Amino acid sequence: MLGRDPWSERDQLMRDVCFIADVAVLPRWMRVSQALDYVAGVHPRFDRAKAEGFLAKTSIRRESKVRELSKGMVTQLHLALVMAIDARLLVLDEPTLGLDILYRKQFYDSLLNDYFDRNRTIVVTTHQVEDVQHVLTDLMFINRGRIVLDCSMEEFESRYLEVTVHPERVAVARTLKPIHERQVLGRSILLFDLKLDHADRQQLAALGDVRTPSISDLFVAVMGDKSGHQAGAAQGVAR
Amino acid sequence: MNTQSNAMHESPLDSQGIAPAVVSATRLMYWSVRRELWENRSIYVAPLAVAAVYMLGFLISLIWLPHSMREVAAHHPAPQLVELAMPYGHATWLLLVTALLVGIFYSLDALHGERRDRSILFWKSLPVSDLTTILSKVSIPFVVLPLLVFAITVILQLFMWLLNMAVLLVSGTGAATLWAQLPLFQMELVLLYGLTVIALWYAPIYGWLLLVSGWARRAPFLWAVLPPLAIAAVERIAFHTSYFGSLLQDRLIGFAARAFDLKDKGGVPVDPHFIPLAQVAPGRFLSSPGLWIGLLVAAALLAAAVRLRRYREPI
Repeated sequence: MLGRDPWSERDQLMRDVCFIADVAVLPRWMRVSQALDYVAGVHPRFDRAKAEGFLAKTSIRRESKVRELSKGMVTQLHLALVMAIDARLLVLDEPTLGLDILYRKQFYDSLLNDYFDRNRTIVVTTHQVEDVQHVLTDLMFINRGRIVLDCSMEEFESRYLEVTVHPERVAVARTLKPIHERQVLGRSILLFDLKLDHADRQQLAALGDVRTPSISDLFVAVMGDKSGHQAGAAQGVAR
Repeated sequence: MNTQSNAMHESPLDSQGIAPAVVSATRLMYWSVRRELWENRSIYVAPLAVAAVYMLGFLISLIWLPHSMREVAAHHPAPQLVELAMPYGHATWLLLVTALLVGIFYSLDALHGERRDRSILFWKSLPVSDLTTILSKVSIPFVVLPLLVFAITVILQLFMWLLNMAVLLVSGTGAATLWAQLPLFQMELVLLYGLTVIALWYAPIYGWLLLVSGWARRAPFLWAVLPPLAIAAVERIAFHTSYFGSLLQDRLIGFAARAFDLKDKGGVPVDPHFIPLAQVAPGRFLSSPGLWIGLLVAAALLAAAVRLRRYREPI
């Protein structure tokens, strides 16, 4: 990773990489001021003034202990610490787990507005994909350690189409081999992968309302089928 | 959008060749030790509390001081010295035992607590190596606690001595005896020597406790204590020998016979309340193989703890 072994050279690596595992890892006994002092003491690229600036916009008091803060405040604190570090790569592992939608939105907003710029990469892993849909440049699905989808967001938008099919045309639509089908309020919504060349955009537009699917719908389509696919593959080998 | 982020955008960040930003090893160590003191306030609160309680007891005992000084004056000089030194010796031993207990429980929790509360993920996300972390943690029982106990004991004994003198001067008896007989400076020197000896001799014990603390998923205390006892017991039952048991016993109390002459020139056992400077035997202690083997074992245990922490995750 960035030319260093993450096991044996973790300390050097962590000068360039920031990592938020999840919101519950800040030591609960620590005071906010101690967290600032400590990170300023050990991290060569930490800008204390910047962190203080982020904190000034929140209601977090310097003398509070982490255990006295709400979950959302702990996230804000952790983010303030991390965003004040001038790192090349920021890895967020389920950063919004357990936060309500208000904090989640705030989290990504401040991440984008205050932190992101041309030289930084942010990797977010999350199950709450709907939060990050409009933030991403690249998308990857991982199932049990295997990458099952890896594409840029442009590719995602041009490649996948979701069609709310008129009831009388469902049978026709099904012949075009959608990768997934679901029923919402009695209407069929079919998801197509245009790269498979079973259908093109015009054909689908004739079938009903066409739009870009949400990441979560694609996630369900790709992951939900996975177990079935694996079973099918296994049968094929057995024959 | 605000002044901070503007400033940030103006500063050109060369992502390929960022200037080598390095924090010196001393500074990393300093902040790591400070962090240990923040988290474990018992390191200094416990000895201070014990010193305060002892001081309270000593204050009450001052009521009987003039009376007992008159009795002391009636004895021969040698026992007189021991009796004078008695409360000072008690203070020393009490603080030594406190430091030992604090050191044991601190070491057992040092690498277990951070995994239990998941904060290890936060510590590991910062550019502090596992070696620095382990060294900062072992420095607590090895350096910080001995120095702290030394400082607290010296201050406590100085206060005791001043109060002693004040009471005796007012009551008009024994002040001269105390002044002439109680070698406070010598006692502190012996204490410093003793603290160094104990720290060096117990190094493998603290190494073992830290390793277990980093390894055990739960109940680090039991994992640290029961296996050695079990080995000793099995050896005894199976082979009717007690080599391992003697080894343990020697590690716990063996420093005394090596670092001090426990009998004076006349063959009389030295009273542990007052060990004269003449009884220290640093040459013998430093040349005893047990010390150096112990330090090597400690280094190996700590190296294992460093290695282990690399792969440790929250429990």
